[in-house]
Amino acid sequence: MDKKNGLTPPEDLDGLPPFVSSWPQLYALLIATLVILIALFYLFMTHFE
Amino acid sequence: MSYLDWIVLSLTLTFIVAYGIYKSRENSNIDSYLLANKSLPWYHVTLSLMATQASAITFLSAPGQAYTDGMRFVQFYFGLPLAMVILCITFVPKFNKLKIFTAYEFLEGRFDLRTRTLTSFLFLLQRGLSTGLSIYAPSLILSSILGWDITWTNIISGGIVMLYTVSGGAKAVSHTHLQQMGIVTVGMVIAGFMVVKLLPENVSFTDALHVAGKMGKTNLIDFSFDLNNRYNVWSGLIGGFFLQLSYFGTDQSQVGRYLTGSSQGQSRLGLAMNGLLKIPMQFLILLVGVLVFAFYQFTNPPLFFNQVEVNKIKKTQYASEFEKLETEHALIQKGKHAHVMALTDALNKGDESAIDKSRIVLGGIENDVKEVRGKAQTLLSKANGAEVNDVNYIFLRFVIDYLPVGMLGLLIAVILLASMGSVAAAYNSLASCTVVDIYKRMYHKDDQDRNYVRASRWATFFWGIFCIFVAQYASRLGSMIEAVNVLGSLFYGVILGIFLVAFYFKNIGGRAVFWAAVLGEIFVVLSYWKDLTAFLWLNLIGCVLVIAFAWVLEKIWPEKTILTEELTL
Repeated sequence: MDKKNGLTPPEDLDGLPPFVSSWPQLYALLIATLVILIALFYLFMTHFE
Repeated sequence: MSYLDWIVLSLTLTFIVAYGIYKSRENSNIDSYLLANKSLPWYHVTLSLMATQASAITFLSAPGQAYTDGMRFVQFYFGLPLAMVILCITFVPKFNKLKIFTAYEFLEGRFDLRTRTLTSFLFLLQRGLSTGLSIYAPSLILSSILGWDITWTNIISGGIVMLYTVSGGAKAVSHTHLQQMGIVTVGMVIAGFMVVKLLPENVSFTDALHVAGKMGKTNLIDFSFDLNNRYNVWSGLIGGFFLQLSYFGTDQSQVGRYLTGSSQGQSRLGLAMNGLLKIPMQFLILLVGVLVFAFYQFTNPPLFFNQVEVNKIKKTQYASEFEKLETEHALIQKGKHAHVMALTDALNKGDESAIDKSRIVLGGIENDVKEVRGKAQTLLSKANGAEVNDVNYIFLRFVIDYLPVGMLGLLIAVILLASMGSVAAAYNSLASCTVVDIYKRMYHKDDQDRNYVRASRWATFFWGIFCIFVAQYASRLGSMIEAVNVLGSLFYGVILGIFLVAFYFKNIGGRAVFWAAVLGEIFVVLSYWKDLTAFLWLNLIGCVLVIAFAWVLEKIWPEKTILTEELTL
């Protein structure tokens, strides 16, 4: 983050998908997806077992 | 194979080679040859990372594993997204800032030349040998099932990759990865649809999953903490995390893929998307295996899927004993069909008590099948003089026996393309390290760019020949998967230890880490040689030993000046 105005420098925004506003948000999304996948796999397993 | 299969296979392979050569016509400098001018978007990076990791064995072995052991293998990848986050935060910014070609260049700036050279040498040794095995593994399976000559299968599959990697370098590797992943995905999706289509008329996709699930094949999640259980959530999250971190963070065949990103952001997003897509992809491959299992609940499967081994035993004194097992197996399967149909009926009617009853009966029958298959495997090992396992043959046997003409050609193309994807990245990374860490750094520091490109082409050619040569001798190493894992375990732990010291122990200098790595590697090799522990633990032991030795050595033999990570080339 830019210390002066609290904004993310433009070079850090390169590559960021539009649905997140910072890299930490993308990492959090990645971890949340992992948790959701584990939950979905658990439901899949219990449903078919 | 039919003419149509040969046409599909030849056209697919020719397209990939021609496309690779066409897309990488101009390679005038070393940035272009080794890093594709750092010009690739994130989706190229993602697909290149995935194609490098997914070898032929992924597509042959994983469906077979789901057939025999269920889907629990997917948990092995749970640490991957976490490793991707650490790579994005720590490794990518450091590598990007220093504008390096190889991961080991970073170690010279942080430690010294000899640590860089040692690590690069360990990588070249490990990757050179394991790439030979990567060529050999699918060649062995294809040659034994289709009757192809193993020597020529090795030469052709390793040689085709050389055609476009020698001329095109990293650009060719990345562009072909994109096409390869596309064809591989299409092939696997079609195979999945075909399995469902081959099910009896009154059995739907969900019925098939219910049947497989009731027989324990949808065992995706295991929350129990058990060190003796290879696949559970915790071993996947913790063990998988360290394994993936060392693979993606310190193995040049993967580092070289995300260094081609057009910016730090594109490399990061490529890695993050790899973390997002890898688990669902592995789930779908395992799902195909579960569907094949469900299919064989309505159709008699062979007792043993590797027909070559079955033909061998039928020429020995154990033939009658094996035939008895085949009869016993066929009877069990015949008796099972009525119960499987009863289960599907009960599922359609929603009759819970009938479902439970069928589940218990089928569970017992499945144990009988396992027992007979176990006996057959022991007998085959005894008769044919080697440990035999048919996991890698299940999916291919199904494709050969049941899929229509043309599909076999496509599926063999999928297997060869998957192999080519990982082998191409390996050739490119071996050439990068040879030229950048040895040739350029030690012998020709200020040469012209075109000479570096020429040297890179020769290095790619040399490593291609070396890996094919290793593949020819790989049959003496026994189990392929184990041989690849043992090789990795001998070196990955020590290399990861060096990188972790570089990143997280700022007070440790080059001298301490160099000798710690030498001592750690000696200890790891001795541990394996003296059989002190299971080889998978060598990763952790190597890593911990390097960190511990380096810390102790720095305390008792402190270095006056410790470098930062700025390169001093």
